[in-house]
Amino acid sequence: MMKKTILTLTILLGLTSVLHSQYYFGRNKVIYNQFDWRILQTDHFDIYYYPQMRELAEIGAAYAEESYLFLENKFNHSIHDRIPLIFYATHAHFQETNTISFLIPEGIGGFFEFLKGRVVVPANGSIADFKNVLRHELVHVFTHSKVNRILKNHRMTNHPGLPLWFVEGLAEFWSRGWDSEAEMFIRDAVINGYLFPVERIYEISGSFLMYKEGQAVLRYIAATYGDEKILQLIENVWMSAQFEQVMQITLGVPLREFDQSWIYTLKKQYYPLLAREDAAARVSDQITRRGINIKPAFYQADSECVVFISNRSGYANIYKTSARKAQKEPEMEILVKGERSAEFESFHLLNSAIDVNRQGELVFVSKNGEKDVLYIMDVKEKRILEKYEFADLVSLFSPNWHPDGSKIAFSGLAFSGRSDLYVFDRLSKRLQPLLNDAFDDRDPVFSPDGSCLAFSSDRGPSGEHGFYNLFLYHLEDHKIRHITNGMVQDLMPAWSPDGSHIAFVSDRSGTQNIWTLPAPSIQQGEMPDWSESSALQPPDGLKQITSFVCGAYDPEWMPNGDLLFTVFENFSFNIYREPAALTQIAAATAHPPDTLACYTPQWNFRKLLGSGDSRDFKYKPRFSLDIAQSQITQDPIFGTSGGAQLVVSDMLGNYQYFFLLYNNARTRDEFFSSFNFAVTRMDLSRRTNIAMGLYHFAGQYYSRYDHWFWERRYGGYGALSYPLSKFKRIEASLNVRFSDKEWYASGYRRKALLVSNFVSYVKDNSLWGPTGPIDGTRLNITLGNTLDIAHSNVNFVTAILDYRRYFRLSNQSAHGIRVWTQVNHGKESMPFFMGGSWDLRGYGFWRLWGTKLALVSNELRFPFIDRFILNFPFGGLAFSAIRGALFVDVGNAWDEELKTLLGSTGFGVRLRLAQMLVLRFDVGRKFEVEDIHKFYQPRQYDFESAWFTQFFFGWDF
Amino acid sequence: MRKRLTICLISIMIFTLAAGCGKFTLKHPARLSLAWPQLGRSPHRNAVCSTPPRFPLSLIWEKRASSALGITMLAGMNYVLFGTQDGKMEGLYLKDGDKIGKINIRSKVELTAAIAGEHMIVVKRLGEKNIIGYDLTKGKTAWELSAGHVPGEPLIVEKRVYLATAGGQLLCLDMTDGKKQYEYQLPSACSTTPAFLDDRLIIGDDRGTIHALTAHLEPVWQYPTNAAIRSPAVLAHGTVFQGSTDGTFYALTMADGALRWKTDIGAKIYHPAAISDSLVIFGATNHMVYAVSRERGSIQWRYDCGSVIATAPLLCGDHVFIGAMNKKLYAIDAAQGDVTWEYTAKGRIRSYPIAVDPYLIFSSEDDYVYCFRLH
Ligand SMILES: [Zn+2]
Repeated sequence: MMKKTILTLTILLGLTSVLHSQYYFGRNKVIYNQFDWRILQTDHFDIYYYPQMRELAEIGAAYAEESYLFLENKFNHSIHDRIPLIFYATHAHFQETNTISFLIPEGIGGFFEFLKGRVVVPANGSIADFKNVLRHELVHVFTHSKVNRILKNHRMTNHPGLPLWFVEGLAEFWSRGWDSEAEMFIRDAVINGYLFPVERIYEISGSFLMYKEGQAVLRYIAATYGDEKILQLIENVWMSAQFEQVMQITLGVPLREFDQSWIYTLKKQYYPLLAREDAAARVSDQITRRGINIKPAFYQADSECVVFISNRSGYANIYKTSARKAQKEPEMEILVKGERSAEFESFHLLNSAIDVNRQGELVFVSKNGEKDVLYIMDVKEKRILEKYEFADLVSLFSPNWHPDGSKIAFSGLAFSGRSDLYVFDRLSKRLQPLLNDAFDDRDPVFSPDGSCLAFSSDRGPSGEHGFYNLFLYHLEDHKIRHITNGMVQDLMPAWSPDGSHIAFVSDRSGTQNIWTLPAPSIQQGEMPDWSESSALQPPDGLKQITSFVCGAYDPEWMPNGDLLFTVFENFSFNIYREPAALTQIAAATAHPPDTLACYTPQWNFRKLLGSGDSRDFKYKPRFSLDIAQSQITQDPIFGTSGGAQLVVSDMLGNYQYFFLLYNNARTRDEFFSSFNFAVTRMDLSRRTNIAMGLYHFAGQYYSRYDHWFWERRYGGYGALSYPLSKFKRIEASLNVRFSDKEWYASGYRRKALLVSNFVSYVKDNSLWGPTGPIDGTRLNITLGNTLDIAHSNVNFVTAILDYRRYFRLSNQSAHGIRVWTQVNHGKESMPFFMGGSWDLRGYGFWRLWGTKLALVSNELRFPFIDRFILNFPFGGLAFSAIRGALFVDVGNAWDEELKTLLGSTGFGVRLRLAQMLVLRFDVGRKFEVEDIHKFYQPRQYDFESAWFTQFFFGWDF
Repeated sequence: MRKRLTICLISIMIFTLAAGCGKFTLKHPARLSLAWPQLGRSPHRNAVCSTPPRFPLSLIWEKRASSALGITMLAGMNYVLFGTQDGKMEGLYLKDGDKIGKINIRSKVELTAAIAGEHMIVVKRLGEKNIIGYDLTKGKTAWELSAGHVPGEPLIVEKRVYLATAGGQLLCLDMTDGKKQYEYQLPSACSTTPAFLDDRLIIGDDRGTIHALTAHLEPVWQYPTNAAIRSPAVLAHGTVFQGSTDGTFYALTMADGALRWKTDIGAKIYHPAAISDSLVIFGATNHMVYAVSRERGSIQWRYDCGSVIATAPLLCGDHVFIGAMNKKLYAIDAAQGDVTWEYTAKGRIRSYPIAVDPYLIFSSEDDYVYCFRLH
């Protein structure tokens, strides 16, 4: 919220004065859909939904009410106000929400925003995930309300509240309890020795590991001290601002001792696993070694290859490499560059598999603007052959080739949020929907004879509790048959090349590992319908073929019976190969087959409507306050002023008003003439964002260029921003204002009615390291003019070019180049300013000015110290990274003619202090090239003998 | 703007000084010896008063305290006293709610207290010297003692004070000088308040065990429940009545801890019960007020308040008063289980309602204290 306020202020002031370079880049939230929002009112919730997702809204409503009662009992607390729940049917829709201003990455499953107390949760196919996220966020609602109440009752205003690891750990523990995912991460952390004790958990604050560790700590407290101690920890939060103290009082042990016994308990539990389970690296052939590498697909070129998805460079790409065992990281070839263009915006990194057919054609999905697109690529030529998008399908997952390459099966997520199976015929271009229901059907794979699909779904009897089992779908008679059953997660089936077995992922042994079943041989007509009880008995011969301590996924057979798969180990995902896996099956011990003792033909989703007095009506924007604050603004043109700032918006954040009010009068008779206000209305409801505003500013100001002057200006402006994609946009603005300006030194006074127009093109696909961009491009081109239409006192044109390109040198290092020029040309052209850490380093802040400026910066960015921890008495402070830089800047500002060049060169250190705060320190020497024509002769550079040092807070350019 | 604010602040300061400069002493020491309703009115913790209320009750006054109150309020003949969560001890006259005066216990942490005669035992939840013996007639501190975090309420039996610390230590102090007389270490941490009747001290711990000890803190018997005990037991008719966060209400024989009956309600019980001749009445987090047969534990009626029950019940004649988190105080006909009267306060009801003929007093979370006329 804060950021947007600053942004709007900047737009406001920026358009009337100078453009602030730090805000004019950035990626775009593209509003592709205008949802017809409705509100469903239940006993405790206002549920915001759109008509297409009514079914999901009802399922969510029922679960929200169920969770409310569950949490009331857990927290011994109630919530007075109705809780706004904003639902989206898909994650892609969720990414369009205006309830928070920043872009939502795929890893965020939902959030609780406490300014308006909103819970925003998308479904994304799986009802179980939807419910888990919903309850997770509701735990936050209760925690927040209870802690606020306790601190208020104790009159504590500056208390920090509960630490993040506790808040998130609790939300995980009271929504998911303990699941195989948490088990896998904690096992891995314990066995590989990177588990952070609670005393040092701040070092991983905000990370996924922190969530899972928090969950594990709370599980341990519940098991060791009783469930009630968790509540007492919350109730005792007021006892100390240091949670360590609260833990000591409540649990009766010092934190260090608590850590010791917690970690001891975990070791005792997990170390024995090594006796019967394996670390993958010790028993199978490792193919990749760095970052996240998942979803292997076998590809037969001249040699055996594997195609997979990896984010090893920071961006997710599709890679190809040799499928042979490698001692060190093998050669990688990028097939598709992802996450930096609209075409390949996202491969759904962890959620979607890829497939290569015998003809060497790769099929994969990617978000491309509003919807996902199915791409077919020739791997050898690295050429996209075909691409398809489907009318009602928002997202696509895990496409799989028919053995003859004529059809593709995949799981599709419809606008309504239903996730079902589809088969696409390449020849007829016909899309055949196989199922249409609220159950989540995923990971379809064709049998080698093409007659059946094996898939994973929650449609079985255990699906009601969030479990997935395997099923067969016969493509000719459209019958479904169980192949596994039970309160376990069975996912990602893979048919062996000879059709004899199905490998799949199951958490039957505690964490996810690879299991096999003999494939049922079924002729057409022989397969009974799944509702007939004779069809229920899953096949005999269930076997576990990997037993890794942490987990294995994504089984993919090679034609020779070797198996490729992904292993999670030592906090990274890598691809492995198990030679002759198919022949090993015979020797593996058989587990008893699943049974279907008590079978209910079809379970139903519990939907709302408990009390019967729920209401349903259309959403109308109603405004409420988000921020009211007094603040001091310092603006080089408008001077220092204190004032009040208000932001109001509607529940969905589509319409926002910003008010700025202040008075900079120095004497009483100046009061009315120095009354300053600005109001801006932002309409974010459509793809084209519209801002409109009115303002009045008056007072005495100082600038280096104009010195002291008095100015009064009032007017209005409108601005449009149209995103072409996540990475590119066009902006335009019109600003009409009356200006009355008097220069004190000369006594000159002029009045003008100024009209300014600007149009910009902005591109940003940069990838950020800890202190600034390290890959990609940023570009801003702006053209405009400012004209005095009443008195012709002012008439100038503006041109701005700011281009930044980052060349990746290695995983952590990059070479950044910035080329920047700004030109105002004409009558009473406004000056631009330069100098300081933002641009020309070594020179005083805004010491150089002129109607024209140019700058070229070069910077080499590299890691300096990777991890740096300071221990303070009140707890540690961790810097995730210290980075170094070597730089050369050259530029100048001028009015008439550029004669000399100024420059600086040196060394810098950057320190990431907090989420949004980077401290930069530069040391260097300034130089001057007196004759610009001698720029190419470094010997003409006149270096100053003194070294300069500069401190600065802010990102790298 | 700034100027006006200063004037405003000064006037507030003058006002508070004028209102609070008197010493906190209670007159008529003879009357002080009358029973003060410590939590549950008596050492056996049964909140019962014989006055039958006449409905509708009329509000006499409502006053704002300096911050939220704890669960315990103490009402003597003419006064109501309570500790607040920002560490103040406050007293109001029952007839009009006027402040009595200033009590000089300097604390920033939550306070609670019990009174017998002219002795007030103040417990600061945390910190050094957190147990204070205060002389109400002289208006000053008589003794102090450090005892670690005390989550529950002090219990006064004759001239002795019993306390349970979070570390599971049971203490028996001399009320007049604070000298330790007996102590006993429970096997587990403890978050609740002891109850006492006929040489039996009963207290539950955080592992769910109910302990019975003698007045000299010698253990007699234990009874295990399945989750932490968060409320004091109520002792009546030779029976220990105890709700647990395991979702079950237990009735045990006081003499030997044998189970007489238990009733499973499937929701956590955070507050003690009120016991009449035939019924045991208690509330739970599932919005329900239960009345079960005293002899067998069978449910006689239940009433759904629509929100988590936030107080212990108070039996007044034929009615039971109980507060819920929906800000409402209910008066339920004890025989039928129907609501006769209800009152909506400014916040969640937090303190246990108490009655001193003819007043009914309780407080809500937004710091308000309410006083009603019972008849
Ligand atoms: Zn969370």
